[in-house]
Amino acid sequence: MAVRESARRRQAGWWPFILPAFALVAAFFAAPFVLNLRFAFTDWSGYSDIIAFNGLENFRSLIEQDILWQAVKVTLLYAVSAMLVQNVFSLSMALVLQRSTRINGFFRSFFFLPVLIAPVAAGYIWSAILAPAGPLNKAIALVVPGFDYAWLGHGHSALASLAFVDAWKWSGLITLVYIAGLNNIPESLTEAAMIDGANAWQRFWRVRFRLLAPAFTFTVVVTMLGAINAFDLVAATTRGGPGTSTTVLNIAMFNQYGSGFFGTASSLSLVVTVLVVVLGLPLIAYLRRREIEA
Amino acid sequence: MKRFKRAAVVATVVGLALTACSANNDAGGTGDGGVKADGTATVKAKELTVWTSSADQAYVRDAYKHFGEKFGVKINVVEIAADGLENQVQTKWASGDRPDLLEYHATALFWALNPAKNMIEMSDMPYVKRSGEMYKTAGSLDGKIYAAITVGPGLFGMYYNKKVLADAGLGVPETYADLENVCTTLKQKKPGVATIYEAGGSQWPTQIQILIALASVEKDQGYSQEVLIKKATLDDPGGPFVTALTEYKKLQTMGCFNKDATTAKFEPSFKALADGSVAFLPQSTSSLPQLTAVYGDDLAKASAAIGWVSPSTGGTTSAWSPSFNGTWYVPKTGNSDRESTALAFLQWVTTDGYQDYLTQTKRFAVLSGGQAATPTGIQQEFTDAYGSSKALAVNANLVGFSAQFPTLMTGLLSGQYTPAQVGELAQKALAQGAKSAHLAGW
Repeated sequence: MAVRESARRRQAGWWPFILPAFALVAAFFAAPFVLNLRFAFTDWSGYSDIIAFNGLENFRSLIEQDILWQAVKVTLLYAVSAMLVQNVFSLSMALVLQRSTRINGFFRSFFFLPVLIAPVAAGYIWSAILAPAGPLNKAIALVVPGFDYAWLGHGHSALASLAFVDAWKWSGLITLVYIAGLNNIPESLTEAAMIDGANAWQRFWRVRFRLLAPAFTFTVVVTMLGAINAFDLVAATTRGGPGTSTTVLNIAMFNQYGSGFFGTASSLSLVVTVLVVVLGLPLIAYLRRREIEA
Repeated sequence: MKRFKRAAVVATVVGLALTACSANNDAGGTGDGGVKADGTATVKAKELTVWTSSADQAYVRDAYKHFGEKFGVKINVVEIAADGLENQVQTKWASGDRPDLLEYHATALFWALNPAKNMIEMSDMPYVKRSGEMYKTAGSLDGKIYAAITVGPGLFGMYYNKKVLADAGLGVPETYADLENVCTTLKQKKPGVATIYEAGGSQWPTQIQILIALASVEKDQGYSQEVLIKKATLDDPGGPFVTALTEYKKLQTMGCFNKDATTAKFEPSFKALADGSVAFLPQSTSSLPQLTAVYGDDLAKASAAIGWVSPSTGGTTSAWSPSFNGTWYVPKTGNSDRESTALAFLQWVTTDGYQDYLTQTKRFAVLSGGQAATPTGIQQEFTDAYGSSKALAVNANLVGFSAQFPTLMTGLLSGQYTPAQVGELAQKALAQGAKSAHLAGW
């Protein structure tokens, strides 16, 4: 009886700890989302104080204007590119900087510096670096005379450049997560693999990479879903241009809202949320399953 | 468990209370303080908050300063970044934030602030009677006047470097298509000179060439009105809009724009024009202070080097637009003292303070009863252009269109869209705006 009472108390004892987080999520995410949901299906605009239900008209208008699918396409391309670049780069850095030496400590701090820079400032800095007459092209021109490519002036290179800048901005943080993950892998396992005749690549791919699964879950989800919510970096670097080639969903939403079309802006906001849920939940489920298998 | 339930209820109530504001689409001080906007308002508040552009001209800031000093009113100037100003104003406005005085566009852009509900109507203010026909096309909605336009209109045209053209033996172009010949000759005789500076990186300047090209069509047939009443459409493949876009794209394809046209910002354009690395700079006359700044604020020196031309499709015609600088609105804040003081400011700047203010603007007078400074140099060219052949800029009242136009133009520049696609998307953007504004027939 005493044991059961103690177990009951242990079970009941968790909720005070989760309550602050729950309240914050409820107050600043769930409730605003639910309360604003209906506006996605209204003609709410700055032009009038009458708000009427208009069904799917906002989505039709956004599709007709080539805004919705273009923004979804750009957002997904940007998110996948940013996630891949960030994770490949950060994992490589983590493997190089894993051991806790003084030099590695210096470089860990050095690569962490961009994380501390405001995204808007990072955007302005990189738009200057990537300008046709900017320092990057000047450096390339030392090898290729007259090189003056407008990195942000062409759709594909602008999006790729943004993904790279995003990776540059956040890789320091992701690298630390991977280093923590790598340090959690017992050395005895890699030693055992070595004794079994596994070469360096096999030890990494068959042992360490598999056991990095928990870190991998965190980094992939954070980088992917973070990129889907991108705004400030894009706004400061390209403002969604040229044309709409870097207009991610949040930029499209900002443009609609800023033009007084609040209903269509709400519709785009709903799409962002749906996209995060539709991509996020299966992704997390898959990665968690992979953790268990590992 | 009871305690848990109570805590959950409290958390929910606090949460909903905190988030209630996010769903309050009717937010803001939209109450009317009951102040009469007929020229009788007096200074009653000791403080006024003004939203203004970071790119404001000095004469606007001086007007606040002089009024503040004369009447003992502290003016809190809230600067909003000029790049993306409309988005920021709209966002603040929608969240319920209101200034006592708003400096803003007198074009259809202000319709999105729902003036009938949020702004004090100023049809009976004395300055209206001194403004001629101005408010028939600007600063008004549904026959009611909400704006106080105190500065002469800006013209869209092209600055040109006189020496570059003279060295190449070229005269000024009269039509937009003439720029092709100018470009061909310049490429032969001055290969290092770009014919036209385009600032795709700043986005908004990309509209200017099209506004210039369409000015004659607007003057001859009232093109924008035809579009609004659906007598014409922007996506007509043979229509003026798509034709102008096609000519623009042709000029780009011929290599007539600066190499970095898709990413260049407008700020360095004045220096590029002055040093002769470009021959033409599409701009508004409002940017004259930025041009003269390159010449050490010496207007005579600037005028000797730079000229002004408006090569429209059908010949020299200027596209004019009501000035942003010195166009004010008085939002309803519900604070009658502040509303009264804001109206008193407008009354003062258009009467007792008007002559000094007008002299400082160095622009033509829009209100009778003031003597504008005698224009000199390039300002005389502006005056002549405005006096000879002009039309309201095509985009001024095409509601919703302006929101997408710069994006579509940079898409055209980068090759994302063809002229025909820009026409189609522009027509759809207009439809969205016209429906939202409840325009008849949409």
